[in-house]
Amino acid sequence: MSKKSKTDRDTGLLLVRHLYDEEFSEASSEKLLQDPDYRHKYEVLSGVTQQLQSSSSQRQVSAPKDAVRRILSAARVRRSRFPSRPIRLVVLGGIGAAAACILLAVLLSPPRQDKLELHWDDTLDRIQMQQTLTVMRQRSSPDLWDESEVMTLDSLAKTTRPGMEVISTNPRK
Amino acid sequence: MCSSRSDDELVSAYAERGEQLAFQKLVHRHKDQVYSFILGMVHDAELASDLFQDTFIKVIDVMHRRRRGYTPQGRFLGWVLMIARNVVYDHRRSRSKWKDISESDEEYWNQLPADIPLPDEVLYRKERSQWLNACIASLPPAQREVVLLRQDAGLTFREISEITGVSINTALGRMRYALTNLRQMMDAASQQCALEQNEQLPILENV
Repeated sequence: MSKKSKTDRDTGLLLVRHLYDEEFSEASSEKLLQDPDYRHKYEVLSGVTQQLQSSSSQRQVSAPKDAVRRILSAARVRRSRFPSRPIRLVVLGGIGAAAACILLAVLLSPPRQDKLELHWDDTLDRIQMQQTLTVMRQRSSPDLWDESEVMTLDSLAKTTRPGMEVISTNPRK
Repeated sequence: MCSSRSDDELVSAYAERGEQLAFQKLVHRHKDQVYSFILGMVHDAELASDLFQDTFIKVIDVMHRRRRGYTPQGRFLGWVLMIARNVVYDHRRSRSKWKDISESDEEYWNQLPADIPLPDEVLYRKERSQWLNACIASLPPAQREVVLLRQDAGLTFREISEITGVSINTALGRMRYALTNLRQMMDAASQQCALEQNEQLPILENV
């Protein structure tokens, strides 16, 4: 396509946009109408569109009443042939709503203790601590160690020699 | 209450809630534009009536299908006219007398000369609108449908391009050729009228 014919084609498309005022600015209109050639083409085709416009209402023909009646009848029949659709919609809607409620309830409800609460398993620690306490208790017991109870301070002077101390095996006492 | 509802609201009322009144309203609102378009394309009232019914039967079917149903993103009238156009073209293809031309064959559609009615035929037509209808009817189908969709149905060129499956420039180009062809028909008719008047003048003088 030569440059001139392309320009003519583009101008022709612009002309139609201009005639029907579609995606066409007022500024473009004023600028283009300054070109005598464009203005002439515009006026020629504008006469055609005006005639088309004036006869448009006369051209519109009423649809035949019997055809319209048959269409409306078909719409009623078609509706009755698809009776399940509204029911299906209701059922599906109900199921969907119920599923949504359940999901919401699960998400919003407080977490169950036995399942959702995380806690530290300290069973072994507690056993070890228990064993340690038992051992300590055993060690601190004078009966088991075959030792008498720690002597009182009053008794020290009587049973010990000077410069020597009795060392207790019970650090807590 | 029903008359104030938009097309999309009426479509939803019918398709989702089965309101027959809503569908009736849609049909009555657009029936004349759809029928006029079909009649303008086929020029046969009986055939147009059949295709008009076929169109709305398809509309009902599509509105009952969820997957490929109408989605309220554009104008309902445009959607119905697209179905009407498909019905018309399907009918044409089913008849051997119609030459099957590809929609994308832009050169063919644009360069096809308009079948201009003879001026003496035009003179027999009393109503100018009837004459104009005949001129539109004689346009190549691709140009004719753009005229009917833009001028009578009031669709934009963008909507027409979507309905007819061509670019907006192609739609604009078809309109340009259509207007040019119509202008030629008007000029031819005017010249014929002038000739007729000149031929009658000597007779009047003799009288």
